[in-house]
Amino acid sequence: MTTVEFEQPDGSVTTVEAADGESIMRTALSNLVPGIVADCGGELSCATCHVIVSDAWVGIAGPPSGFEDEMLDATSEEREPGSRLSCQVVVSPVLDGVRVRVPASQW
Amino acid sequence: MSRRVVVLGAGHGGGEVVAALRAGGFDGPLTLVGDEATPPYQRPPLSKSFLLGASPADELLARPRSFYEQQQVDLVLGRRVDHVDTTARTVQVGDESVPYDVLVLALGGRPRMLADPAAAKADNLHQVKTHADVERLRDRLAPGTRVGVVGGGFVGLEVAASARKRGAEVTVLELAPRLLGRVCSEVVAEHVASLHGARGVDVRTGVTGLHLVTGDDGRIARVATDQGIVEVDEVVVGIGMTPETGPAEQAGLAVDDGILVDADYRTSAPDVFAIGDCARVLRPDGSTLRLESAPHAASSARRVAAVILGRETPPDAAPWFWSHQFEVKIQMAGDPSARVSRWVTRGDMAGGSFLTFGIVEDRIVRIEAVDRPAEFAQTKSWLDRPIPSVIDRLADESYSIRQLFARP
Ligand SMILES: Cc1cc2nc3c(=O)[nH]c(=O)nc-3n(C[C@H](O)[C@H](O)[C@H](O)COP(=O)(O)OP(=O)(O)OC[C@H]3O[C@@H](n4cnc5c(N)ncnc54)[C@H](O)[C@@H]3O)c2cc1C
Ligand code: FES
Repeated sequence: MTTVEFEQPDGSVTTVEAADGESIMRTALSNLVPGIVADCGGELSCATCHVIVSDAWVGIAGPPSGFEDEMLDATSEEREPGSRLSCQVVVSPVLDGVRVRVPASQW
Repeated sequence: MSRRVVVLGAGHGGGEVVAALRAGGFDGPLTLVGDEATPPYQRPPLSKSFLLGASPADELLARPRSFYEQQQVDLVLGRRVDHVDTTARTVQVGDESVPYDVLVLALGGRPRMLADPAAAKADNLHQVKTHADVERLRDRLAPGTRVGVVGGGFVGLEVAASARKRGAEVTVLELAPRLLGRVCSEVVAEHVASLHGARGVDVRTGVTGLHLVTGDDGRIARVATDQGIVEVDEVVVGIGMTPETGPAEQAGLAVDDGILVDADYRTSAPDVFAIGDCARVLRPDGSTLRLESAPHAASSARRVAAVILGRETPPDAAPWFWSHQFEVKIQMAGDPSARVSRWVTRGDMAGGSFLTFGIVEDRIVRIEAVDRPAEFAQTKSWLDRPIPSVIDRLADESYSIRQLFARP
């Protein structure tokens, strides 16, 4: 089991256990973490699952790929260097303890 | 706050409403009843990645099975509910009469079937609504399998693309003069038709006299039309959905091609709501709108949860929809029934990356995008706002969308 930390805009942090192989988006939905809307259910069509991976983890989580990169230009909160669409980030043991920030709004 | 909430229909909207209630702090008893064997799952991948064989069944689940136990949701699966009593405030689940204080109907819709008598009996005829439907179809697809798809709407075309990618020989038979008739512009429909043609799908439109011809073994052997005969191994029917209104009608709720609801998704009975595909919203101008889309099922669920919790209701985002066919991403936003007076297209149609805007006076009422996800998302929030100075520049790619829509 791998843990993921979600930091809310008010600074509060929820730590949840994630199943390896699942996306961070699905992990959030399964644990009722607020602020991740995920309208398209992970089909890379909505950009409402935006998270910002904290600095220390950006290199490990890796960069967004083609369409994801384009869609990050359209998130409602301005993108940052650690921005990812959480449906495209798959949880694995190397991400154990990863912290992501949930933006103030998704659309 | 221990009112008892019962949700009928464990699909997209039903799953979202229980999640939104618990996320919003609802701590009362919560029951979710559905007639399928599976907990709420995502349907959009059914005709896309799931049919391609890429994703296993559990990956479709909106939330893991353990979620319902953890959140103390009484999940009752494989049970059809046909009887609702809004006076006694009960629903009949099997032999049990379950009381409710608040009832949410999230019943979705039923696929329409061909009137053809052969359709009822044939074992090689498929509909594409449930996970079980698609598993069965998926097992039958092999390179060379001849698949006849009746219906050139999104579901039919997605199935055609996925089957083709798996090496099947696919023919699409559409009765209307063009594909995607009710749901998108001619520009996009033509692009989709040529995409399918280029990938080897035989697309026939304006087909009349369609009937199924059964062989000696009871299977459908061919589909006959005025445009010739198509030999088939499997037939898929994707000709739209009828909203599931049975329990509402039986309970005496107002129904008209959908369960009639107000802007808060309240039906004509006290403390009964209807959301998602089965709901028809009555708008202030007297018109009504029923939407079949996953984002709408979710947003109507979130709104009803807020109403039940007595919270401020979240704003309704503009309706939108997406489709994936082959590697192409198609996205649409705005009321699909809007009467567009002209279309303005931006981008490279031949190269397969463009947007088209449906304009009425000084507003964008529809946006349709082919492989332009970022500009689609950027323009979506501008639907229905007056933007006279921008409209004529939409097609000019020397302006970026961000420049055009920069707030003054
Ligand atoms: C193949 C396919 C592809 C799709 N692709 C897209 C897409 O790309 N984008 C998009 O936005 N939308 C897509 N959709 C549409 C989207 O899935 C629906 O709009 C959404 O599922 C509607 O949610 P709902 O809760 O209203 O209904 P559903 O998800 O259909 O759920 C209703 C549930 O209620 C159950 N039920 C019905 N009657 C009863 C009863 N009497 N008792 C108990 N249970 C009952 C049904 O069996 C079903 O499980 C697609 C749909 C299909 C079928
Ligand atoms: S959930 Fe839609 S893009 Fe991630």
